[in-house]
Amino acid sequence: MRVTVVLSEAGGSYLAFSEALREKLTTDRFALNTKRVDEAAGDSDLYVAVGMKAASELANRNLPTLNVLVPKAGYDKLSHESASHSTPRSAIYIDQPMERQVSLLLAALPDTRHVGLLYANLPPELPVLRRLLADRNVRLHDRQIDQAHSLNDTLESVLGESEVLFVLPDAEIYNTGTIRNILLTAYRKQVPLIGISQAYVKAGALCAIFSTPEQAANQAAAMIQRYAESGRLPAAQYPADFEVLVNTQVARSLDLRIEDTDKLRAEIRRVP
Amino acid sequence: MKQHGIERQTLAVAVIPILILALLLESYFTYTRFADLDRALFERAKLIVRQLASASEYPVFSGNKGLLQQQVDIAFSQQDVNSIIVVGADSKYLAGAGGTRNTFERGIIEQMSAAMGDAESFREDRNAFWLYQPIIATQIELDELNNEMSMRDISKPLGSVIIEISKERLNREKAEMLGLNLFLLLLVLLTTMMIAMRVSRRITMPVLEMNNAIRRIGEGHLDTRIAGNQVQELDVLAAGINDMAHQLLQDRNTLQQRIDEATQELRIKKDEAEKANFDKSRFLAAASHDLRQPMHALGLFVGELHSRLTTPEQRKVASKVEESVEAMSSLLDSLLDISKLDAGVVVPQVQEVAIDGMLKRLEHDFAPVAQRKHITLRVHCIGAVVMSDPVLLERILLNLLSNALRYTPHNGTVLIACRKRGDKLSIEVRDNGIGIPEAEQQNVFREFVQLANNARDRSKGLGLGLAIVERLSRLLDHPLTLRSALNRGSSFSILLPRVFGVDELLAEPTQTFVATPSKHDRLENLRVLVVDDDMLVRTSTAGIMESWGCHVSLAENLQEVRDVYATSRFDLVICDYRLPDGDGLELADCIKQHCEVPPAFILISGDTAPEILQAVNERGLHLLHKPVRPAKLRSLVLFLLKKRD
Repeated sequence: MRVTVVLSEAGGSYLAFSEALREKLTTDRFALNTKRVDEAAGDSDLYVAVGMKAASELANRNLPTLNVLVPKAGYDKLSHESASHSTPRSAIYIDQPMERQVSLLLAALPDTRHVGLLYANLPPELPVLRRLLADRNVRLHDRQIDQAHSLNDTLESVLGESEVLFVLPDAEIYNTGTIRNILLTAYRKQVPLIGISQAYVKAGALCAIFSTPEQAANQAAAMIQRYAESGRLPAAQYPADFEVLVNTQVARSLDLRIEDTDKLRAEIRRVP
Repeated sequence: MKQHGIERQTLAVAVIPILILALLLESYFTYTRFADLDRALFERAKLIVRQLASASEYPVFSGNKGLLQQQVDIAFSQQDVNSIIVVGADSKYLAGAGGTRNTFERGIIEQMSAAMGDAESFREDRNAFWLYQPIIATQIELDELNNEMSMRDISKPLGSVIIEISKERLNREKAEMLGLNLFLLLLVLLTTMMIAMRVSRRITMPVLEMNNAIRRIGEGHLDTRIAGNQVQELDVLAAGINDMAHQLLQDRNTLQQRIDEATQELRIKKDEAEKANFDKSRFLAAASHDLRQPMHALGLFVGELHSRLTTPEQRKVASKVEESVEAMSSLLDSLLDISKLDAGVVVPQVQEVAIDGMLKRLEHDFAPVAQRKHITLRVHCIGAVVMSDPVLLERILLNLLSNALRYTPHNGTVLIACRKRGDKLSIEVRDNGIGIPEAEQQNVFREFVQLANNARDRSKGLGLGLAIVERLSRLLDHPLTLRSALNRGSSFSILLPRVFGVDELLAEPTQTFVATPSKHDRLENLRVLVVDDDMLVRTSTAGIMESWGCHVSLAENLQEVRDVYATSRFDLVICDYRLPDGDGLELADCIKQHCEVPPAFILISGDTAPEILQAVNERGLHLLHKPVRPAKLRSLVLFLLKKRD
């Protein structure tokens, strides 16, 4: 079976994923071909689109595609726009399921009662999140930023009510230019920030839960084998495996006692 | 090309390259230093503005104006910062320091923000410059998996910082540096000039010194020497000049020595010549005196003898003797005259001379000779007065006339004619004799040259006449010319300066002198005193006077006259000029004092010295030169007696 891996960019996580995938698919059944998104795709039985750029490129061509390292919101949008529903298509999201994130929050900071959330566009997970937190006796303080108020003003007001700032992916709020100042402002208010990737932790978030490219590759290899056997792709799914990362320096600065990452991970796994 | 001195040229050579180099280096270093200063200030300003922009990031993001102002104030406290302004993304004023609120800067902010957008920018004028720095949030890569949408807002600035940096300090530093550089340049130039001038002085001073030395040498100070100096070539030159001066000095000394030697020799020669001349003069004096003395006596004795002889045969013999004496006398005269003229002892007594009287006298004197040869002698007078020595002039004319008569054949004609030639008078003696061939015309003036007398016939003269004439005319400055042709006669003429408006009556009336000689009896019983120390002369004079019927007294000297004849009365005194105890003039003076009617006084002298003649003329006395011919003595005596009466 010929499998073509189309990379959004030839580097970083994308490359790590494709390398990991190649290692998994070593049997003679699979002929793996790696290309960049701007190269001609060629003829193939299955395409693995790595990243959002490759995903949107392949979605237009009605090819059997497995999308990896794409946000759930993005994939949903692509699937919605796509004309054909017959073409085999599936995805492994880059996002973690809300349950898992809430588990991390409560595992790391079990005494939390008020959680802040900022968004520019209404996130589809908001009701799920609200319900999950409510189940655990935690109140969510969510604000949408608008033109009348600056990001800082809204942030300050959210921080004023919260013990933890919860991050949902929203490029209008959390981007390379703003993250430093958001983190600084949060520190000034002694409010830790729960990130959504390794980079957040490096930048100064207290902790984050995320899947590595290798973990995604394992999951993708399994799905490809399934496809090879059955000719059908499983439904789009969240990553099966995950990692937890804690910035101990931040924890010390904020005078927080946090379990080490293995314990946190184990605790999160216990949650169904 | 204009000339410059060594000093100026050295100065130019030293200063111009230094000046060019110094200017180039100065400009280069000043320029680079200025550029460094500019760059340093600019870099610092950029650092300040970036720091501030960075520090302002969070305060601007968080809207914390207090914190922002704090950051601005920190930045403002930096040197050279004039003003700072921080604006938000919407160009709204957030914080500032210094004079930020003036409209000018507002204008600048807007211009800069508009023109440059979010890039750093720069603007400057003379006194300040402005830096614009957008405040851009620190970029932290959140997730490489983020889609492009998230990348859009990254570079959007939070706001901007504009900082005004004053160039006042920079400009001051630049001015100070420029001033210092110019001062150093000037210092270098002055030092160079001083060194160059000192060096050139080391050349020019010795050169000037040498110049002075050479001038002094040129003025004759050959002992001038030049001291050595520090410049080697000049030292060599100085040594050369010293050597030259030394050589010149030596040469001059040698020359001086030779001159001295030559002068010494010349002095010796001159002394010898003077001595020889003195000897000659003494010889002449001796000859003229000592030879004339016996000749004088001889003439007088022969005269007396002639008058005492009775038979014609005796008289004939006496006449021959008389002729011989005459010839010898005239020969002696001529020889002595020539000698005296050559010796230069004859000094002409130039005075006004009435030429007519002299000519008449000559005509009268030569009339007998002319008659004997049947020659017509004619004198043509025009009554002129000339400037000449009467004695010497008469001698010239006499010689010319006797010459003419001698060479003119029987029945010929001799003419003496005066002609006016402007302010001169030409006296011409012309004959129609044998003439002188042209080739001989120069020779006739030499001594003892006689044409047509190879046998040297004594009666034809001695050949000294024209030689004397030539010498006399040269002495008197009376140009002598000869015109002659063979067998067509000769014409000698002399040219004399005329005198105008002189009373011509000054000339003595020769008519009376000429008219008297025949009166014989007037000498009878004449009382005559003859004073002469020479016994022969005394007795011969006495003899001839007695033969003429005179009563003669004799005296040997002045003392004898005083002793013997103090009371005696005389009609005539004949006195020798030179006496053992005085001279004839003293006697004349003495007699003049003692006698109421002074006797006629004739001085006789062997000397021809001009001072004697002068002294005689002053006293109005009459002087006869030895040897005196009896006829001449008699004529004078008669003339004086007549004058006395």
